[in-house]
Amino acid sequence: MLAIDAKDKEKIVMPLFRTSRAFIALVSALGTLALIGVAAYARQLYLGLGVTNMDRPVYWSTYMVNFIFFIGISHAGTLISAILRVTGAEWRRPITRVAEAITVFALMIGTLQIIIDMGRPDRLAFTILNGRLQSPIIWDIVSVTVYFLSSITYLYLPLMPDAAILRDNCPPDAPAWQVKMYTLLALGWRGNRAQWVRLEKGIAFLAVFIIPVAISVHSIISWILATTVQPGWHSTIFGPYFVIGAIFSGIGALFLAMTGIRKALGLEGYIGLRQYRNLGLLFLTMNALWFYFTYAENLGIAAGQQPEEFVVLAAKLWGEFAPTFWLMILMMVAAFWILVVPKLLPASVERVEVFQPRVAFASVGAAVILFALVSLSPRTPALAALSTANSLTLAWAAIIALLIFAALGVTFWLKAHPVASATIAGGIVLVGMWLERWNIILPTVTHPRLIPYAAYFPSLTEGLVTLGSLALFVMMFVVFFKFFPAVSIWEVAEGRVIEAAQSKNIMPAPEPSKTGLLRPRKFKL
Amino acid sequence: MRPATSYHPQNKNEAVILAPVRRVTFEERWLWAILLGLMGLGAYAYLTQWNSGLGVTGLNRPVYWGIYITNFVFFIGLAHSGTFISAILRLAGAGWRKPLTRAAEAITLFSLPFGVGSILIDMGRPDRVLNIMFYGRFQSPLLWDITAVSLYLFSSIVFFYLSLLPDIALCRDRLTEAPAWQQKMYKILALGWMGRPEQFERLERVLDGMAIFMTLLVVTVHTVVSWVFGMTVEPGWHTALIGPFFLVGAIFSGTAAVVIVLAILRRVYHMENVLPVSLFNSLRKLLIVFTVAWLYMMIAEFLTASYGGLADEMPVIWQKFTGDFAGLFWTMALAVFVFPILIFVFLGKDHIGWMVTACVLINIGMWIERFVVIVPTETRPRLVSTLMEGMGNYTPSWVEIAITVSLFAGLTLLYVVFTRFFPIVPIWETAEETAETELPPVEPRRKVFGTRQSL
Repeated sequence: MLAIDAKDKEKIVMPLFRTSRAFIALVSALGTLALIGVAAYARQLYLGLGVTNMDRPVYWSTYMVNFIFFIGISHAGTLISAILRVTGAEWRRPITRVAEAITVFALMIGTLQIIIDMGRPDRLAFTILNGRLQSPIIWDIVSVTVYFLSSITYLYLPLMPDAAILRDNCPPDAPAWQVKMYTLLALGWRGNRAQWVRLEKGIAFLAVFIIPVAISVHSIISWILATTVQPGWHSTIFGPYFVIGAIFSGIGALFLAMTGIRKALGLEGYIGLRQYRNLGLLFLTMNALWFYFTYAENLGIAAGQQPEEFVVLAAKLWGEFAPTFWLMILMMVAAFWILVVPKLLPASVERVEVFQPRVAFASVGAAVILFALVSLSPRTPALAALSTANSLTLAWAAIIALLIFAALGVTFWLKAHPVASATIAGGIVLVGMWLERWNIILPTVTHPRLIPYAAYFPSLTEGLVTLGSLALFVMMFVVFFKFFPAVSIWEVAEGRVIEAAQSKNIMPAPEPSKTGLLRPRKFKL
Repeated sequence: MRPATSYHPQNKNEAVILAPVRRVTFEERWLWAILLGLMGLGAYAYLTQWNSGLGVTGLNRPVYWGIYITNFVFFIGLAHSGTFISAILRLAGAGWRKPLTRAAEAITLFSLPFGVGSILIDMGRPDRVLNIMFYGRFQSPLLWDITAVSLYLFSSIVFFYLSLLPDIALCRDRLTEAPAWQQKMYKILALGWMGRPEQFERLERVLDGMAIFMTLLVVTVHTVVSWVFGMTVEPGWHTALIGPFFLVGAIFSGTAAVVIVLAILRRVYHMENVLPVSLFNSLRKLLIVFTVAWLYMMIAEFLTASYGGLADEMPVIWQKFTGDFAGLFWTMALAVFVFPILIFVFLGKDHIGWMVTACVLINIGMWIERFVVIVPTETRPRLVSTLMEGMGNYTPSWVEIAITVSLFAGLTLLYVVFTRFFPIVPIWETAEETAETELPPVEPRRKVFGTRQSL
C-alpha cells in the first residue's frame, strides 16, 4: 500500500475518477473533427491522390509539412525531459509527464502523415522488404521506429510507480476496469528497494540513450531533403537547423499543453511560475539560435547568387512565398518580444496610460488596413494614384511603427500575466514553425532544379485531413490525461523532500521511507 | 602607498596564488630567452618575406591562403576559450568556473593579437589593410570580419581588465617588496579600487551585462570569420553549415586549450589546492559534449555534400578523403574525435595526464582541421579548368613555418610573463567569504533574467 499526500490525492488522483461535462463536450468536438478527417482520407484513398492538389513536380506538400511539424513537436518531450533529467534540473519534475506524452502522441500523428501522403499505403512495407542502406528513407523509418519505442518506454517507466499509487488509492466507487488497468500497468510494483534501484537505472539509461536518438531522428528527416540536389534543400546546415527548430517548436507545444492541463485540472500549485520562467529561458535561447541558423542558411544563398538556388530564395523573400515567409519572421520576432521585453521592464516603471491592449489592438488593425492598401494599390485603379515610391515607403514605415506601438501596448499586460504570455509565445511559435516547414518544402518543390515553375495551394481534402490530425492529436492527449496523472506524483513528492532538505541544508536519511514512496538514494545537495 | 583601509575578500589560498608574482625562477628566465629567440627567428623570416615578397612562401595562384590564414582561424578559435568559460558559463550560473576564468580569458587576450597579426603577415602589402577602412563596402565579409574581430579584441580587453581590477588592487596593497616601477604600475592600473561594497556590486553588474554582450560577440566573431569563406561560391567553402561548424570547433579547441594551460599552471606553480581535479572533471563533461557535437557537424557537412555529388564539389571532397590531403584529413579525424572521445570517456576521469594528452591531440587536430577546410578547396577551385601545369598544390616554405612557430612562441611568452605580474587565479572571485556577505544582496542584476539560483 503506497500512501500519498492528501493534497496530491485531492488534486491529481481524484479527477481521474470523475468525468466532467466539459471533458465529454471537448472530446466529442475533437472526435467529430477527427472523423471528418478520416472521411476525407477515405475519399482520398478511394479516388487516389488526384483529389489533393499535389501533382508533378509538387509531390510533397501539406502532409509532409505536417509530418516534419509533428515529429518536431515530439522533441518537446523526450529531449527536454531527458536533458533536464540528465542535468538534474529540479524544476522539471511537474512537467516531465506532459512533455513525454506530447512526444508519444505527436510521433503517432507524425508517422501517420507519411502513410496519408502515400497513394498506395500498402507499399510502405517495400522500404523494409526492398530497402537499400544508402537511402535516407530507410534511415528515417529505422530512427523513427527506435525513437517511438524508446519514448513510449520512457513515458511508461516513470508512470509505473504512479500506476501503483493509483491502484492503491482508488476511491471505493472507482470503475472496476479502471482499477484493473492500473493494477496491470503497475506490474506488481511494491516500491521496495530493488525495484527502485532497477527503475532508476532504467530511467537514467533511457534518458541518456534518447538524446542522441532524438537528435538523429530530426537530422535524418532533414537529410531526406538535404541529400537531394534540389536548390534550397541541398544545404549542409539542415541537420542542426531542423533539430533546433524541433526543440523550439517542442517547447512551444509544451507551453500550450502545460497551461491547458494547469487550467483544466487546477494544478496551479504544481506547475508554477518557476517552470514557466526557466522553460522561457530555454525557449529564448532556442529562439535566438533559430534566428542564427535561419540567417546563416539564407545569407549563404543570397551571397552565392547561384542561378538555381537564388530563384528559390527570391520566391521566399519577395515572390509568391513572401507572405508565409514574412509571417513566419513576424511570428518569431513577436515571440522574442513577448519573452524578452516584459522581463527587461524594471519593476519601478510606472504604467503608461496609452500602452493598453485596447490601443494595441487598434494599432494592429490600423497596420492591417494599411498593409491591405499597400498590397492592393498597384492592382486597384482607384488606388493606383497613391502608389508612388514615397507613399509606399511612408506606408511601410507607418506599418512598422504601428506594430512596434502595438507591441509596446501589450507589454505591460504581458508583464502582469507571465503564464498567459508564455502560452501566447508558445502558440505563436507553433504557427511560425509550421510555416517554416512550409517555407522549406514548398518553394523548392515549386522551383526545382530542372523545371522552371509550378504552383500549389492545398485542397480541401488536405485541409480537412490536417485539421483532423490536429484534432486527433489533441484528443489522444486529453483522453490520456483523463486516465493518467498529469503530474508525476512520486517525482513531485521526491522533489518536495529534496527541496525541504535543501532549505534546511541537512541531508535526509538515505533510508527508504515507510510508505515506500521515496527512492532510497543519497540526495545530492 | 594606499592606506591599508581598502578591503580585500579573504582567500586562504592568497599566498599560493601570489607566489608566482613574488619571485621569478631562474629556469623561467631561460624559458623567456628561448621564446624570445624563436620570435627573433620569426622576425628574421618575416623580414625575408618583406624584402623578397610573398614569393618566398609556398603561396601561389590559386592557393592564396595557406597556413597564415589557418593560423588566423586557429588563434581566433583559441580565443573563444576565455569568453566561453567566463561569459557563457557566467550566464549559465556554473559556479565551478571561477578559479579558471582568468587563465581562460588570458588565452583569449593573448591569442587575439596573433590572430590579427596573421592576417597582416599574409598580406604582401600590409599597408593596404587600411584600404578596408578607406574603401570598405558593407557587402564585403572582410569588412564585417575586421569590425567583429576588433570589437572582440577591444571588449575582451575591457572584460579582462574589469575582472582583474580587485586583484590589481590586492597586488598594490600586498606586494610591497616589488620594484618601485611595478608598484607604480599596480597603483595606476588599480584605478583607486578600494573594495567598497558598492564597487563590488557595480563590478558584478557590469560583468553580468558584458557577459551577455560577449556571448553574442563569440557567436558573431567566429561566424563572420567563417563567412569570409562561406560567402564565396568555392566548393567546400560555400556551405551553409560553415558558421555553426566553425563556432563549435572554436569553442571546442578553446576549451581544450584551457585544460592544457590549467594543468601546466597547476604543476609549475604548485596550485594543486587552488585548481582541484574536480575542475578537470567538469571540463571533461563539456569536452565530451563538444567532441560529439563536432562529429555531428562533420557528418552533416560531408554526408550532405557527398550525396549531392555535384561536379564542382566532388573533386574537393576526394582531395580530402583519398587525395593529397587524405593523410591530414584522417589524422584529424583520429586526433579530434577518435582518440579524445575514448580518452575522455574511459580514462579521463580524475586523471589529469590523460586529459592533457587528449586536449593536445584536439588542438593539433583542430589546427589541421582549419588547414583541411582552407587549402583543399583552393587546390581544386570551381573553375578547375583554369589550373595549369604545376598549379593547385601547396607546401609551406620554411618562412611560413618559422613565422608560425614564432607566433606560438609569442603567445606562450606573453602568457608566461603575464603570470609573473598578475595573479592568474582570480583571488576575489574564489574567496571563500566573498564580499557578498558584507554587501546588500545583489538584487538588481538578478531581476533581469532572474533564475540563476533555481537553475
